[in-house]
Amino acid sequence: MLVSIEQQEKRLKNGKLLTVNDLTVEFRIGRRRKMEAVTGVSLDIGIGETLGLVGESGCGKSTIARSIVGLQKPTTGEILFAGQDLSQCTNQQMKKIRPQIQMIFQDSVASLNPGRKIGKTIEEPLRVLGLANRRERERRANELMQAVSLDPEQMYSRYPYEFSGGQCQRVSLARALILNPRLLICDEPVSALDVSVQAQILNLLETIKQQFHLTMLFISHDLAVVKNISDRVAVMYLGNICEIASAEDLYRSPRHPYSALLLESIPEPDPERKQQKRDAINGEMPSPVEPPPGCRFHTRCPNVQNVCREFEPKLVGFDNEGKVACHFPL
Amino acid sequence: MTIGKNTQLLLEVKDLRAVLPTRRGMVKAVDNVSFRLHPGKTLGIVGESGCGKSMLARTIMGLLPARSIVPSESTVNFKGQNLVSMKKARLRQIIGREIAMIFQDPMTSLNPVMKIGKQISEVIRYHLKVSRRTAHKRTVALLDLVGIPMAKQRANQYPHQLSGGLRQRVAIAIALACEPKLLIADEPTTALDVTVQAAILDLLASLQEEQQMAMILITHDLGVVAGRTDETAVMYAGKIVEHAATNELFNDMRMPYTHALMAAIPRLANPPHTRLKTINGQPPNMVELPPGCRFASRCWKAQPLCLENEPALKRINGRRHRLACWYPLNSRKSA
Repeated sequence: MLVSIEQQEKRLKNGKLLTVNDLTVEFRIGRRRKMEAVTGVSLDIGIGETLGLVGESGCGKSTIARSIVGLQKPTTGEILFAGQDLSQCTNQQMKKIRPQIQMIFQDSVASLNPGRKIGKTIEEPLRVLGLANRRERERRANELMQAVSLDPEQMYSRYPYEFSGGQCQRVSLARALILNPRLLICDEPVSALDVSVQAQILNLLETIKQQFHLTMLFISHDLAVVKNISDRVAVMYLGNICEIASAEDLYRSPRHPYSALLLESIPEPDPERKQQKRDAINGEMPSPVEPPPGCRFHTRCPNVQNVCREFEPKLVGFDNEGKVACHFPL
Repeated sequence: MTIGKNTQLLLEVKDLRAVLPTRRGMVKAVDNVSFRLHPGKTLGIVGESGCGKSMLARTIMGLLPARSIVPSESTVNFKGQNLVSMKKARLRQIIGREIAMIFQDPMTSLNPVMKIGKQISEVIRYHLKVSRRTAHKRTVALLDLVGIPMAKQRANQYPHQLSGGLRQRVAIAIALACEPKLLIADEPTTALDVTVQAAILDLLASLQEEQQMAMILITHDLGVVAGRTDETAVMYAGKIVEHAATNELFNDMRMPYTHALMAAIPRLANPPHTRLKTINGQPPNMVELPPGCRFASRCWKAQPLCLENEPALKRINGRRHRLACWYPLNSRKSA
């Protein structure tokens, strides 16, 4: 089964594992009102690539992730995995595709069943899909526990409450990997962890990515973390993507004023940076229920012009695959 | 940053300990912590979760959980009065008025069913014994001061109608209501987005300058401390392990733990896919602490001495740099 998919991938002309086209996700709020959490987002992830997705809370990053794994139904737009449109797939086809897209979440403790031994938690996907007998499942679980540096001998029969947040994240990762996924979606996997543990998990993700030949979508609000792990980075604001560029380019010379603002706001552990006076930040993110007309960032943008208040800028390419949605890019 | 001898001390914490009862046993959450703070200065306290930084703040404020023990040798000297041995009724005159605190999560520290204006004026009326009208006027002025637009209308709103950043501003307004001499900010921006975090930290800095208020800024983020504090203390397993002027600390960190903590942070200056340095192992069990240095089991420089004897927090080179380590890293400054 897996072989055929790999062959199919080789046949993919553009080498993209995942393509999201013009995705819009609406939520109903109250009886008549609707809000768009994600508006017309397009992005793609090449095979073996890590795409970082950054933005402040409420900008729609998690909604995109949930739509890709099928936890949220898109209102319009298409999601292509290995060239197949997920919304057109039959249940039979989905059964084969779902194991290849796996996800880990921010709150690793809450994403484990507290009443189940962690070994059983890790092997559950195999049991649910009926892919292996009991002995085979245990063998695979042991293998994966070793891959994420948990000692199977000691840990297999323990319960989540005996584990720290970092260890629980390792368990979630092992559970996600047991089905040999092609695409791993990480939704704020290190945000709840201390720096020293965060570093361990980030290093582990890099190792695992090589070892299992993964493609990753990495979501975080922390720009330094995203830069560390990503090949390309997409910046989101109020349901839109405002800039996509290679990690190096984005951090060296951001083109969208919002990317620049985000970069300036990061507290760097370097007291020499103190003198650098940042521009006054104009207010906070408006409510996504009533997004401002025109460019959604215009209420806070330092370079705002009349055009920005009326017309929404399109995401256009500039160079080296970089794209920016701004009338007056930096 | 030089402090004249005749500058009055605002806060002097000496040999502060706090022992908390837990189901697994007694936990020495704060162990032998001493530091001084001068008016208008900022002290940053950095450490990972469970290192006792929040408990330190709560011990100073007298907000420990029931049945916790603070030994009588511990002193928290605030303007010449010892807060530890003080009667509760007397303490209430100081807490909220002269020492105020803001917490990490503004949603849980505000009353969800009380208008925010009322929550601010309540503090003003309790401490300053002024009329309702004066209190209301001051409330609106305070909301304005902390940068909340349309202060008059906002005063009539409930916390759930405000965004996280605005809620934290309300919490700051409550803390500043009586112009405290000391503000303890416990992870004030951890629950907020980066752009909002920057705005709140800027606000705190400008208010501090205006009101000549001293501040203790507690955070897990070394980035927040850099550039915003005069001094920084690093805590590990209930103790201060390194303490120096912030610039000095960042330029010349000597304790291996501080160094490791700093190296574990992903930096913007690094190219993508840089391997991060990690700290092996886990912090010690706070119920059964090891006899020697508490970081020894994770330290790459540990020697037999470290496992047996606990190093004391000592000044080095006669400078204002304190350190608890038997084998500190080489100074970058000395040739």
